[in-house]
Amino acid sequence: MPYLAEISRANPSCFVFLVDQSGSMQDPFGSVTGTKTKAMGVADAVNRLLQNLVIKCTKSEGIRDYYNVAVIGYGGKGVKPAFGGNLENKQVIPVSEIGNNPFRLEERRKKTEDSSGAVVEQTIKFPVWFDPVAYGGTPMNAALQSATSVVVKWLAEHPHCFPPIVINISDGESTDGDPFQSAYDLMTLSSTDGDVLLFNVHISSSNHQPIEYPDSENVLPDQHAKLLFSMSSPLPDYMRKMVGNEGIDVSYNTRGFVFNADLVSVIRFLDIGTRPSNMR
Amino acid sequence: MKVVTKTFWLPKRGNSNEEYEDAAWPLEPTELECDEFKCAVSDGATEASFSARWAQLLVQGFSEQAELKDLADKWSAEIKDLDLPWYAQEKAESGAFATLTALKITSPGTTGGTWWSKAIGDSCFLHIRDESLLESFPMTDAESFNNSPLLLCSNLGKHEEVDRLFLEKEGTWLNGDRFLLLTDAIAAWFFRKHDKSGDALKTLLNINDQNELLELVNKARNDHDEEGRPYMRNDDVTLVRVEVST
Repeated sequence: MPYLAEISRANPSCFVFLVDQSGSMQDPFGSVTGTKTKAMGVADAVNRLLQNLVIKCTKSEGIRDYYNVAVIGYGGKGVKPAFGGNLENKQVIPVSEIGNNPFRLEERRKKTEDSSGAVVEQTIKFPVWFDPVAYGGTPMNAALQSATSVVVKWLAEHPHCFPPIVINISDGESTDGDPFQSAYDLMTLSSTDGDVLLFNVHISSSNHQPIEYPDSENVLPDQHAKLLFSMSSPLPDYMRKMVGNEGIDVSYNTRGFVFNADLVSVIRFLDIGTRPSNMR
Repeated sequence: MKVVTKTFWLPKRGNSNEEYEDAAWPLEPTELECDEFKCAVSDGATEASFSARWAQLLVQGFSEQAELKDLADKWSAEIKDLDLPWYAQEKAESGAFATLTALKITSPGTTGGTWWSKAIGDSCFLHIRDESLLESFPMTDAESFNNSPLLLCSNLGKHEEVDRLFLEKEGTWLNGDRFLLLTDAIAAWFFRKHDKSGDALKTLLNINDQNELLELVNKARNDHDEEGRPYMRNDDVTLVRVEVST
């Protein structure tokens, strides 16, 4: 019965984010001459994923704890929970606690539509949990093993949950050995509803155009991308259909991998109830 | 004509009554003599916030012939007055979303009259004579239901042409006919059962109180088909029964 479990407060699921904070993240992001670093790209990616997950779980009365979330940083300071502030040193945190404890709220201008459809500019509050960090080596193996520990404990307590989703955000330059076996060990854990999903966001200095949800390593520009693709889970049927509906060619080998692109669409794919086809 | 209505509803399992996001009009039992009668159901989308309020505004607004724009403005004004944290503010800016299936019954003659319905989304109405299904609208079979229907957004600007979003249908009724208005979970269950055995209509017509609905819904949520899917999806459930006579 794969990937059919209801996600609810009584039967929550789990997200684990693995955040590469190694020294190589000081390099430019998206092109070798860019001004934005890969560390900035990683921080943006994590903040946007968390923001979207919190909003996904928001209802009129507040945030419903459909998910618990762990964010594990890996770099020169080792492998450890990456939240700061009120969330420092906490391992697996209900999404409501994350939503109510961003490190800071920045004010940003955003164009939006009012009820009559007119475009108006508004000031919105943008939550920031993570600032860019780039220091030391890339212990991706150890990070994946740490995620495995978190997920094993979660599955023992929630054996019938929608399978946990692990998202690794990295440039793929592991310095503690080939991470494939550790990734495989993680991807083959399961709840009664299916295997754990490991998705990868590749943040690269290459100026190759962004790639979303490929189904073959042949389209990928370098060995790091191919490694991360190889350790990404094939998308479950229903997610594959949703990716296809977004105009991306899919096959049974389409995987949860993006190259220099964001993975926020994964949050949109989570099924917590009726989602209007015209809601973005 | 004489109109007798009764409405039954249940929240999604695991949710409280306060978290129920469907809406029905009328919600209370009704018995009246009139020349025209309006009723409606609406299903507020789980993924949006403040959808329950939008759904309530839509069903009441239909019965009071309110303009959609006025309802949308009312929803926006109510939200604007709230002091919301960043996430609730951001979510509310996406607008609320809901279905609407509305039915107007009129009585031009001595043996019956006409009905007219408009709908957006997957809430549904059934027209029943004796114990047979004459018409269903806008949904006609179990396969048409999915988890992402096109819904009416409180930010009307998100729709290119609001009026063209609605499907409409009309017909005639005779003395003793009945109508059921259903939100999607129980409507989808009905079509699946009706296709197989045909006794689902009788089951719905015989519901007399909330407990009987609860019993039916609990059983349908707990029974699974050969693919492991429950016969009724865990969602809010609403049923409005309307009986008309001359």
